[in-house]
Amino acid sequence: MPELHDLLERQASTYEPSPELFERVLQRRDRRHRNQRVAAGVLGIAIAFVVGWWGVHAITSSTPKPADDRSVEDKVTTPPLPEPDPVVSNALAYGADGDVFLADAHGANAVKIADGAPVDHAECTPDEHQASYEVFGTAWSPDGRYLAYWDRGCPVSEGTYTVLITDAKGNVLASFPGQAWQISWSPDSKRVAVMDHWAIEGAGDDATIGVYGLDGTRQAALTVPAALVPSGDYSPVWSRDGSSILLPGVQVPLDGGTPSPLPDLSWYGVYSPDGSHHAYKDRSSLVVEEADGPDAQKVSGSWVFWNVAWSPNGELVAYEGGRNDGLLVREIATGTDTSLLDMTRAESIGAIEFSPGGDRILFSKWDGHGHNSIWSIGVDGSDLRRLAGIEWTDLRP
Amino acid sequence: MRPLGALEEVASATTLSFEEFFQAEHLRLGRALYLLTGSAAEADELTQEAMVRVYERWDRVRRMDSPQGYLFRTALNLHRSRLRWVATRARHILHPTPSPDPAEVVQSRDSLDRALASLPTGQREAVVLVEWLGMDQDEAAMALGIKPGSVRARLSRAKADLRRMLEEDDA
Repeated sequence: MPELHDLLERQASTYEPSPELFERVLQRRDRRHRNQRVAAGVLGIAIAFVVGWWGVHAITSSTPKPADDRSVEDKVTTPPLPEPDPVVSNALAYGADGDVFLADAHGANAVKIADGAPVDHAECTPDEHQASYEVFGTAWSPDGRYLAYWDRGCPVSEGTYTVLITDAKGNVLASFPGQAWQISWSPDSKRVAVMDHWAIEGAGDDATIGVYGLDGTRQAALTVPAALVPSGDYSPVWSRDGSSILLPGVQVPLDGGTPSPLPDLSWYGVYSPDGSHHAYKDRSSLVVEEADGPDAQKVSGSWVFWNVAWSPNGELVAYEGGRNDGLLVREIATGTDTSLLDMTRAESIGAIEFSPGGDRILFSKWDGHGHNSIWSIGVDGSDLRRLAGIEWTDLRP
Repeated sequence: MRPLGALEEVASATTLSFEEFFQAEHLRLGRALYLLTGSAAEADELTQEAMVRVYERWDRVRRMDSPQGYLFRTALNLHRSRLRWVATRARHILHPTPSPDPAEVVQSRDSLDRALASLPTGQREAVVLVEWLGMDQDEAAMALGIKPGSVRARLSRAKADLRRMLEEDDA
């Protein structure tokens, strides 16, 4: 639509801002500053009152309970579940049109393990709740025994859908409600984190992260105060040591400690498997730098998460280059980039994942004309295979 | 953020005063919000609030790679928050179809305005950022806090719907 910009320009130019806008900004900021100082005073009084009450309560209580200083991890015992064998065949898991598939390392021999309807076609009536399965990000648990994905067919309530934990055959082990996108596995494969309540930055409500065991019991509900709620489509990520959950710009300890802002505003990055390096896209360039420490607190989050991927051994990074650059792989030891796939200007990569064995890359490609497809390719650019194709839907390996 | 280039000519970001930033950005932001909301008063209010939030964090924001990106992200989040608030309020008082601006979505607006207003919020945002502000899809994705693929999908759908609606209007 060549004239769309002109139409928009004509429409936009009818707006003229109020001439006192700058003064009003200054005034509103000053007013807010004053109010914050008053509020700080009130808060001080409230804290003093609570501390005072606690002091009296502690003194008058005849049978104080012993302090429970165990961590959440210690307090929670996950009931024993049958442990399925780990998947050793380097199986690829992906979702398409409401179904979930497992294919072999080369993308062949796909088996449907979850059968749903395309999300726009799911029937949701009082009598019928049709499932529509969606894989978002890494579905496999780190030990390769379990999968976590969504049923987006019919919402449990507004904005809330169903998280499923299954074995590698799609047998459902647990289900529970969740919001937002990424379901994040703990490093020990025993729990997942998902948003219980996804809050919008600036809306004034707290966000809540749910931590669930493999049996679907909620082990912790971690509150993120409204002031720390990130912007954008954020999702939880486990820290490498498993002690906290990270959102872009926020660290939330699992032991019930106070959430704290992370120092770095640049959260568009992904850590190497050993945590030693951090890769992110700066426009169309890939930047790989040493991480700040053994467990540096930058977050893998939001959309760039999908455009940069580390191989499991940390030796390669796959990423989408700039326009026409296609899919590239950087060898970390030498800094050499290899182009695996040429693309037309209209085409682009949506998501990138390495296979668990690290010898193949799974990616989704948008053709610029309304079609998405999932592909698999060897890390040397050989053996390109198309796994599935659908229209419109965000497709994620 | 290339097309918002007025700022680049003013000064390097780290030495930029908030007033210079405001003068360079407020008109484009206000017009983008006007296209999104269809209301000059609403655009003024959202521009004002977004600018206040940037001003409160100016020491950090001016050192960012893209202070403009932060400003637009803040403004768009405020816009979405307001829509959510309106929707919640509307449900409370049993209005069946919450609209961001029901009083102003009327015949007085021309066909583009009506067509824009009928798009879902996400699609409208994609159109305004990419087609009018001239952001590329990566920049728009960053401003919206979503993936570039989602921007592309929203944009394609929006353009198809706009084309259809404008053609119907012409007919």
